[in-house]
Amino acid sequence: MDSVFPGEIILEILSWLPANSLLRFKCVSKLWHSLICDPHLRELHHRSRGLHSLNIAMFHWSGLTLRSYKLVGDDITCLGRNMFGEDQVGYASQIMSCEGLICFVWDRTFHVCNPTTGELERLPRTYALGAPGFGFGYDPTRKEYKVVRPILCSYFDKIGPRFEVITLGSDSGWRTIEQSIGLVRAVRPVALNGVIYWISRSKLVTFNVSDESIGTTEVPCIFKGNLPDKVILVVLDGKLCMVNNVYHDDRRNNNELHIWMLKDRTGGLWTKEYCIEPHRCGMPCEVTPVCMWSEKIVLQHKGYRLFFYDPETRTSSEFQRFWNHLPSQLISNYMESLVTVPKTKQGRKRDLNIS
Amino acid sequence: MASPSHTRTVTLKSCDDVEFVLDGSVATLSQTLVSAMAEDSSSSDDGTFTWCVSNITGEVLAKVVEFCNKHADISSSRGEDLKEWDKAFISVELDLLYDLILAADNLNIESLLDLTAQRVADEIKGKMPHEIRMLFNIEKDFTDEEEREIRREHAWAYGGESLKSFL
Repeated sequence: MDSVFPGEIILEILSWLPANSLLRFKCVSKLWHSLICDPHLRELHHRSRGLHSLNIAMFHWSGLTLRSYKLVGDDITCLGRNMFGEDQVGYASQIMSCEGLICFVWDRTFHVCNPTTGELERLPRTYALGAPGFGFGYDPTRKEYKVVRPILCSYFDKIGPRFEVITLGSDSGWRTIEQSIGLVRAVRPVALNGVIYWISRSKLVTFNVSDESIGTTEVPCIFKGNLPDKVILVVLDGKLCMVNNVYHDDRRNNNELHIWMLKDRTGGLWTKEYCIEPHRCGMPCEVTPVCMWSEKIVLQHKGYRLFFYDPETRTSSEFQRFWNHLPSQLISNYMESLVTVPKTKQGRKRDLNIS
Repeated sequence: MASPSHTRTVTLKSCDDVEFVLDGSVATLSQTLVSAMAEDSSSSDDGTFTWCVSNITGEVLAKVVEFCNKHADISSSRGEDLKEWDKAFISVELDLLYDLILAADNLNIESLLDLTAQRVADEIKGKMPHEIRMLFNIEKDFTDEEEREIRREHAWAYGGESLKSFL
């Protein structure tokens, strides 16, 4: 080829590349650098999202290492970094992902990171007594990320009825939002289409990330008035799902995972979409679904084993590679994206001092 | 003024004077042809329209026409079959692929542009910056110092190790 492509064609090609290739190609030339930094590319890049890649972020016990795995077909790429320097150890707790970013707590401080680019930002400290089960959501209209945490009541050590909210990149810090809906359970919520869902005693408590309104969503009829303790929420195939691990009385390892899917939110229509029998396909009892990938359900066990369950054939296979590394603590799937982590005033000041 | 639907046939002429006759409906895949036909007032009453593409050779144009004919044929353009067909169609030498992507851009055929750009992306995604420069004849305009700085900033993206198939 005797001439280089015009910029618009390079942009077309770049829009189909995975994010780590894009970051690598920033030093090809000045033109490529400016095209890759162009916000227009970020918009285009979202097209290639659906290209069957599964991205998994996990923390390892040693030195707070975040590893992210990218699976395309049978091909796995592993990105690994020690985020806080060699001398730092500790345990991160709860990891939530949303629109390309992940949020986790380490050293009693919220951190937000883009596992694709490795960019990391520390959020302002908050001293309110927080409960496990913070939510991390995205408002597509204002393009804002928010972290929402249920606050412990000071008297009864119960969770709610207040929430504390922070908007990423805003300087207003943590804000308190009163709610009268009721207490939420201290389990991991999920975020879907701009709404964060927590499990409460008999319903789901919802937080609208855009207008910050709080509401409720019905649970499947079978659970009305009697929501089992161990149900969890997960998003599969872009739908809100409730997973109930049902043990049969006769044998301890004889259990079924019932996965209820909310087909229509306004109508409150839940259907029992999948029934998985872990012991019949070589999985431990306590597996929990993470996400869907290539028409398979990805399940994790205790944060360090991953399984792929095929609902068609009712068989599963294990992602062996995790055994080669130290056990991890937390697993989350995330969407690959070049989005930059919004910075607070302190963060921006820090950048200025560096440059 | 001739609108695409009124034009029965379109004649495409390559830079080396090879002519291709397309059905009017096939030509609508190209936004360039659609707007050219819309602007053209001299179109003859018999509904033919001729368009010269000055920088595309007959060999490349033949592939473009083959693509348009396939994609305009609704009866054969069904999901999986078409994907298979596209895959076979795009398994070409890199030189032809580069010409195809330029032709797709020139004639503004979105589906062909997507297909070719995606194939080039697959070709280059695992490569290192210096390999990209070689492949596309790009001159390095960063100093070694600047390149090191950018690499340092994105060390995360160089750390990837490809693991073998696991399933």
